[in-house]
Amino acid sequence: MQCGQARAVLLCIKSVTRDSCIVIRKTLKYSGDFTIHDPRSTIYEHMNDILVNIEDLKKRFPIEGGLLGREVAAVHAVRGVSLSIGRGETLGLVGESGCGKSTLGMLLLRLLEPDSGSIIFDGVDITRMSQRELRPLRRRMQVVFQDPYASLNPRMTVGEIVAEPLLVHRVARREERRERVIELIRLVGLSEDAYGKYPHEFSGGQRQRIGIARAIALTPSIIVADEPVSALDISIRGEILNLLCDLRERFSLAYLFIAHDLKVVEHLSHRIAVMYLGKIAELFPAEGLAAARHPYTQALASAVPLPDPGARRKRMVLAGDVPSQIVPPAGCSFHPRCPYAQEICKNVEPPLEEYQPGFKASCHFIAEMSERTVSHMAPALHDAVRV
Amino acid sequence: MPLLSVEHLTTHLFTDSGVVRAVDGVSFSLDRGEALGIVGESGCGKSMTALSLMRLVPEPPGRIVGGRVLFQLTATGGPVDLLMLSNEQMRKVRGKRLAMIFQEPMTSLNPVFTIGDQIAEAIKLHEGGSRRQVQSRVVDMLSLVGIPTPAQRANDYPHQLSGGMRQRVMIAMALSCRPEILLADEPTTALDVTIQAQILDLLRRLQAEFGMSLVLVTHDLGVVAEVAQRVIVMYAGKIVEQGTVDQIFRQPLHPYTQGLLKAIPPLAKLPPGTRFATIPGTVPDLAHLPRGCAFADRCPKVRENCRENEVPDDPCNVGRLVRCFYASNP
Repeated sequence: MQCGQARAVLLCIKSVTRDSCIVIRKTLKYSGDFTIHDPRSTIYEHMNDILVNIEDLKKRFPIEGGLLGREVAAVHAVRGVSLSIGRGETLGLVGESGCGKSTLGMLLLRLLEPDSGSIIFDGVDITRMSQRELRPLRRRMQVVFQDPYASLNPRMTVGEIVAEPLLVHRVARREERRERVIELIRLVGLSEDAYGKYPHEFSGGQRQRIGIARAIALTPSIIVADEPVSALDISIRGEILNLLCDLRERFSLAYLFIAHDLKVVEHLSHRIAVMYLGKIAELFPAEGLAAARHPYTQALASAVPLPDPGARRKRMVLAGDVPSQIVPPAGCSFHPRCPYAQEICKNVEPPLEEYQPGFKASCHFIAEMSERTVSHMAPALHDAVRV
Repeated sequence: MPLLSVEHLTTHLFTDSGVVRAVDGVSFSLDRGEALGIVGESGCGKSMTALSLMRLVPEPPGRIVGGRVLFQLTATGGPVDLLMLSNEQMRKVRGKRLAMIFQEPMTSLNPVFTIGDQIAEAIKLHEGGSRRQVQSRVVDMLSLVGIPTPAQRANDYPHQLSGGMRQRVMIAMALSCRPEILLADEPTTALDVTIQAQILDLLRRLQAEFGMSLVLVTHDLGVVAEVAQRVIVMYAGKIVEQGTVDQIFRQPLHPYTQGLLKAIPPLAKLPPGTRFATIPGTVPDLAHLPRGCAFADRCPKVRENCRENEVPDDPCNVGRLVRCFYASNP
């Protein structure tokens, strides 16, 4: 893939406006030199090739109590999220546990019913579609789960697991199906004899490959990958991430890549959305992590322990826990933990606004936030291996 | 004289599919006030090593089949081999001199007792004292680990606390009798990064305050780099490399350590098209280990003799344990 030039061109332009982005993109597309690795991923938002667009999505889970099982409270898992994912784009979604990132992924796939808001998938509003109407579209959206042990049926062979989507959607005849499945198994880097084996015969990394083979069986347009490498050992993670990258290029897949590890997300994504208590705190191009200004993003980045004993740095340790999702704090939901919180933060909820091209944050004082806490992140300890 | 010295510790698991050599002749020492990190991937024997030191290996299938764990129990007398103590004697050491915290703070707390009762149990068992004294000790411990309104929180049940708070309770419980050694088995793995940062800060602070020795078992090299002074890297039940934190992170000599360090994504965006570094292959079956070096099948530097001969502690004479015939800079 030739992407160096495009990247260089775009990086040269100091202040990229939306229009110039589009112009550049069109030019590059025309010259055939464009790849999805462009540094100004804002482009996706302003182009027509948006694959998924969600608008003000909300989801609450009622808590029932008392003798009559009345609703006594509710967990506000997703509290008004608007996002879009372009064709072939990888959107990283990070946040602490309980921030609603997995719920958002499930909503996007309509595996959970949203309370309000809309989901437009490839120009079609799927928010209120019946499961039956949804079925043809389901082929185009798939999911890879975190736990490769729990997400594969132990009583089915690998062949049956990978063939299941083909069967459900009546895609191929029996003979073709077998061929297709073996092709898929090979594609994810397993040997052909995996076909007749059972999941317990495989290691965690190999199982995750099986899950990925199942997800790509119908050549979807988007895969929601919910913490796909969190349960794997460090030495295996890279293989799975590389596989996800390869498949993305091969099938021009879009990913909603959900993770709690900013480092992993940063490398794989084009854009990153940071979620906090059911809302988007900040949205920025992945290249711009060091320039992201929201105090929560900075805290998340500085909390990652670095494999460098010299870097025992002054980090920004957030006090306290994630607040309750049952009664989220008023105003900015981050204010109880924010070191810069002012009076206004306690009362008025900041909107998600663009503060520089491609960067959006919901913070009253975003203009005053500097890059102070992230400055230590600059030098990378290890040179990545270039293949 | 080191506070603790472990010599040829060997723990086997006797399973249906054969004898799993979970800990295979592990030797190391720990000084007073030192923080030692034990790193490795799942199944490398790091947790089993910690459990063996506590004599908490689940039996059956496990059994400590050899070695010595010499603990300097008294300032004047010679060291005592913990493996030779009777269960009765060991119970007096465990929790009092040597305490452990576990990965999953929910499953290691009893859900039907308040956290105050659970911390009090350890204090009553080892130190006694009136109810009031014990109670005030409990509250002190809770405030020491940074739990707000400790007197009220002592009456809470584990389910009323968040994961980070539960881990703080576990730490309070482990430290309630001021042990000389704290074994922490993946203490932050189940926690979010922001909470992990809080817990690591707490461990570091308490370690300095109490002059306590810390053995930190983890798979996360970043955590080790932040907390430990010395590091042990384990693979397939054996220590493959040992050194100071600087040696391990700046001059790793074993190919496995080098591979592990490369596999961590650096905190800076990689150029597009960059591949993530990996270690090909998988961990060998511990019940059927190959002859020679267990890492041979995944090693980029492997040669013929690696598969034939047992690798000694330091075959290249680098001056510290590097279990590799071809130890060198990457």
